[in-house]
Order: sequence, then structure tokens, then C-alpha cells
Amino acid sequence: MDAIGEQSLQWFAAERDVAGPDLAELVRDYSGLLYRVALSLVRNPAEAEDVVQDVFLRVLQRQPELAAIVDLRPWLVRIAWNLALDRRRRVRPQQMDEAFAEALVSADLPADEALEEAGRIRQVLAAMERLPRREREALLLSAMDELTSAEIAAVLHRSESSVRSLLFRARAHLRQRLED
Amino acid sequence: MENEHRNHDNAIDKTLAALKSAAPPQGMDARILQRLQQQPAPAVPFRWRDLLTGSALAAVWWRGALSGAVAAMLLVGALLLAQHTLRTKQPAVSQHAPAHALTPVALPVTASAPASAGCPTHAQIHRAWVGSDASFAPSHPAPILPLTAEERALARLARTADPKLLAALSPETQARVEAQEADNYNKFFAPPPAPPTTNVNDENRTAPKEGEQI
Repeated sequence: MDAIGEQSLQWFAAERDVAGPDLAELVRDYSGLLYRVALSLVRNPAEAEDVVQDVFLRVLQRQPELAAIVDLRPWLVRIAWNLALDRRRRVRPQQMDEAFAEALVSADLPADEALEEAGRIRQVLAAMERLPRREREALLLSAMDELTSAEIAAVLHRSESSVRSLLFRARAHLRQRLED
Repeated sequence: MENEHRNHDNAIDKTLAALKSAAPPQGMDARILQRLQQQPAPAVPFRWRDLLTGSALAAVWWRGALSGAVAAMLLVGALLLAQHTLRTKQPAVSQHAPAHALTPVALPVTASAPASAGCPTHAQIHRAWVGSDASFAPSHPAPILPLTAEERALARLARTADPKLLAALSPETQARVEAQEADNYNKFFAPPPAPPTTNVNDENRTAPKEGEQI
């Protein structure tokens, strides 16, 4: 980590006694997950990073209340999810599918295979956009390994059984749309 | 058909796996921390509970001030109670009595009054005072009583009222004033003095009659 990062960590370590959990630790533990959650919605790395930054700004504003929050992960994911949904209305993620698909392809693949792979991913992403909103959201959140079905249910304000049902239907509908 | 189905499933899985494995940009954590550091500290909402339990300097100061105030109130209360107790122990009749008469006599401890009884009864205290020197001390004149309301009104009148009005309060002066006023009245309303008496014949002789030729 560079000098700025070290300095920031020291600053937040000094703030630890004032209120609840350490903010620097939160950034270290959850920034990756929150980035992926945001990226799955906005499909733009820079926008996703902005969303993560906004999440932690919100956390900083509500730092005195952090000690009272029992489970931080679904709480943080819900904030990131809502902020990404807000941002998604402005950025039109469909326009970024081409670059996004190329970015998702593994760098180890040869150029021709990478191109073919990017095309398939782009097709799937376009089909996902045509899914009903609830099914699409459940499918995207299920891609995050760190989230249990209970946590996905908490983020989407649904029951666990409802989330499982949404996932099953989402996959079926997606497959159907890819066949069309 | 089944092969195509499997291909679609593979494509879906690969896309979801790619989303899952997306790595954040290099240095994102440091940038976020730097941005957070530039933000002003959040305003902590005021809670009375923090003043009593918090560890901040203000909370310590507040607790110290509160403790001091409570201690001062207890001290003042104790002093007032002690003063009150001393006053109630002094009997009213002994205000002008010599100092030696004020010293209470140690109560005789009898077999009938065990030590465990603690406080002596009122009857015991009365007997102790009656039997002591205080009852045989020489009597003194009663202290000068304060003026009554009428006396205070008279004193105020003597200082501020008109001398005439004050004179009215004395019967002799009042009688003298009344006599003088009666005298003045009589002088003012006295009948006019009688004309000097003259001889009618002389007048007739000297005064010419009307129409008479002189």
C-alpha cells in the first residue's frame, strides 16, 4: 500500500476509539464485494468505484450508529445496491456492454477465443437486460459468492424462498431468451 | 438441441463467474480512504446519556461539576440542619439567663431507663431542666416588647404630621385652640358699636328745618 493509504489507515486507527468499527477495516474487507455488486449493475469500472466511494461516505456520515448495526455486510450491500440503481438510471449500462464484456474475458485466452467469449458474454448481458427487474436483480446478486441467500433476501426485501424462486425463473427465462 | 441448451447454460455461468471474479481497480482502497479523510468529521448527535457515561473531556468536566454541586448541596443541608438543631435546643426562657444556666444537666441514668433506650423522653428532659440551676436563677425583667401597631402609627404621626394636627391630640392645647377660635369668631361677628347718645332738643335747635328761611 502506498504512503497515502498508510496515512489513511493511521488516521482511521486514531478514530477507532470514537465510534464503533474501524472504517479503514471496513474499506479493506468490503470494498471488493461492494465494487462487484455495483459493477454488475452499472457495468462501468469507474462508475462502480464511485459507487463504492459513496457507500463509505454514507458510512462515515452515520459512523456514530455503526455500533448498533448487527450485520454489516447486508447493510453495506444494500446501500451499494441502491446507489448503483440510482446511478444506473443515468449511465445506460447497455451502451457499455461491449467494453464491459471485453473486460470480463480472461486475459489468458488467445485473441480469437477472447473475441468469441466476449461476444457470448455480451449476448448474455443483453438477455439479462430483458429479464423482469426482480429476476435480474436476484440473478446478479447470486453471482456474488460472498452473499448467502438470506443476505440476498435481505437486500431485495424478499423472503428466502421467494429469492430461490426468482433465481430459478431467471435462469429459465434467460436460457429461453438466448435461444430466441 | 441439448447441446445448444448446455452452451447457453455455460455462457450464463461464464458471465456470472466473470462478474464474480471482477477485480477492483488498482489503488481503489487508498483512493477511498483518502477521500474519506478529506471529509469533515460527522456531527455526533447530542445525548444526555453521553454526559454521564462518556469518556470525552466535556463528559468528565460535566460529571465533576455535577458531583461538586451535589456535594455543596449536601454540605449546606448539613449546616442548616445543625443550626436548626442548635436553635431548638435553646429554651425560650433562657435567652437572658446567665451562660452557666444554659448548660444542660446530664440526665440521670436509672435502672428503669436502660441504655439501649437511646434518646431520653420529654418528661426526663423536663425534670432535668426543672431540677437544675436554671430554675433557681435570679429572675430578670422581661425584654422590651416591640411596639404595637397603634404605637407604630403614633410614632409615624409624630414624625410626619402637621403641628396643628398634633396639637389636637393634647386636650389642653385643644381647649386653648378652641377658645381662641371662639374668640376670633365673636370678634368677627360682634354687633356694631352703638352710636354716641346726643340730646334731642339740641339737635332740634341747631338743625334748620326743611323749607325754613335762614
